[in-house]
Amino acid sequence: MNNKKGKSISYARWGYVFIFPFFLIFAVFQLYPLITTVYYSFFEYFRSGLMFIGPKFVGIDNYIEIFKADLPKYMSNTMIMWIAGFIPQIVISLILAAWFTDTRLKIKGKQFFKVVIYMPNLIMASAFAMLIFALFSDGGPINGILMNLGIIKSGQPIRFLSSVVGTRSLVALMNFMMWFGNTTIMLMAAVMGIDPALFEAAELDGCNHKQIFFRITLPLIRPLLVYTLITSMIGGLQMFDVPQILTNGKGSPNRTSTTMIMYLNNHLFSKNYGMAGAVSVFLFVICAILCVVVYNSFNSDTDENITGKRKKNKRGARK
Amino acid sequence: MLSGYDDSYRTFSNNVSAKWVDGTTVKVDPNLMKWVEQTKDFTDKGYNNKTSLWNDSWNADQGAEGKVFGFFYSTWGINFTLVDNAGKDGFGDWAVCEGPQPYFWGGTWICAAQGTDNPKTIKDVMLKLTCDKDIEKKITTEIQDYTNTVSGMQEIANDPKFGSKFLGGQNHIKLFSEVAPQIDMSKTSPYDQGCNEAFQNAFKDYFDGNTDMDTSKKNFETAIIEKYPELTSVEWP
Repeated sequence: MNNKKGKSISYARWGYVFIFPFFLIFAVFQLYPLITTVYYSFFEYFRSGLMFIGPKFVGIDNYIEIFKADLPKYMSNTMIMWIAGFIPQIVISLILAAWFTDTRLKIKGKQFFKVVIYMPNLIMASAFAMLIFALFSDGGPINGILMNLGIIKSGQPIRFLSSVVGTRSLVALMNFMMWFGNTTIMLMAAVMGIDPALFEAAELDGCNHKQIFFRITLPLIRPLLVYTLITSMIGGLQMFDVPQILTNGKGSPNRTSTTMIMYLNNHLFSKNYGMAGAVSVFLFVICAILCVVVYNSFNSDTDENITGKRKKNKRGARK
Repeated sequence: MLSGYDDSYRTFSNNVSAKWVDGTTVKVDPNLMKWVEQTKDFTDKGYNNKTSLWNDSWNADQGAEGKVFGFFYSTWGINFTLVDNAGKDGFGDWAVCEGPQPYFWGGTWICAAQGTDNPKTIKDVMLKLTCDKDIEKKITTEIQDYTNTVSGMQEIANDPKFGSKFLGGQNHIKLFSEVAPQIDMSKTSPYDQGCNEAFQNAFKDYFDGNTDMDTSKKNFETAIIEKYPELTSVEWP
């Protein structure tokens, strides 16, 4: 008895030793920067040439400034581009997940398709954006093809990246292509987690595909749909690399593709730590609120065990 | 006429009447508004291909297939950019002439790292690379670049045997030597690059028809304050 007790204590001590590196790294690289970010967001602190100005305490001036400036506009840009990518993403993913998991359809080469639809996610976002930039440039292949097909007159290319709709849809298209495979696989896991007896019973009762999908599949994967929505929203709020590379960091045209992180990056580029801090804190608060929402939506689920597992699996699915 | 919006920009921006920034106020020069006016006019009449500097279409316009009348370039533009863009088919087809206004574009420098162990060697390397007449002349004869030696450039300019094959045998160094002294560097300031880029970027939307004049002006103001937090206001002519 005593022997056992001694052992368990020493295990616990080793446990702390093993988790110590994580907390050390977390404290140095995450906690400390987080605190200083919040701290400096109340200061006027930037670099002018080689000189540092500040830090001088200015209270919430930085926050007033970012709202007076264009932050609401950048937020709506971000949301528009996210929604435009998310709606096709969730629709296509749902359809694909339903097809891939339907035992009656017998799709051949399922594994192959799963790999293919996941593929765009493996490419670096910046490389993908460069590719799209080259494809859709004024003298690029897409315009060349359209001209050869006679859809548009030669010498009058469609200037995708100079129009608001063009740029935003390209960003949405890229986000859609990069994430629909991931969402499909997540939803497939959810659908496969449903008791097959339910599907069999429904079939015996004479349900058709549509009825099974809307009456059984959809209600049962609702928690995961909510999860997908929230993680995608957090990912969407942090949208940066795709529009940054696509528009050469300008958020053109007329700043309509400038996202909140690009705005943050503009401030960081000019070493304006105060304003950048204020933008970061604002984003942090929004993301924190969304996390609370997702946490609660999971806790309301009765089956704690499954949700715990899902949560683990899905963490890090979005950057 | 021109390939894109920014091609003629530097002939305007290098001939302004004052520096970009006065105290904490950005003063937009009337000359720059002339550029806006002219470029808008060119764009509306179809005198340019709506390209931007360094993008694919701009490069392609310099190729043998390009239908653009001419390009504004600084001295390095010929050997550094145009030769590659012109390709084999365009080789020998180009010539250079004096532009409507003298201007400069770009600059290169060498910095020694602070606290270096070899200050003497580095000083020597720097002087050799930037101020040694023989080396400068060698650079010019071998890669056609215009280099930092007035007397050396004069010698090459007066050499009847020197000429650029790419320019059909033209002695471009002679032209550069005549024009270079007219360049006015007195209006340069640390804000030039940021202001110029923000200005070109803000008015690109105007030329594209995505914004009106006032929105572009406002976008310029926003971009400037983002880039230079110490600046407080923008004055328009």
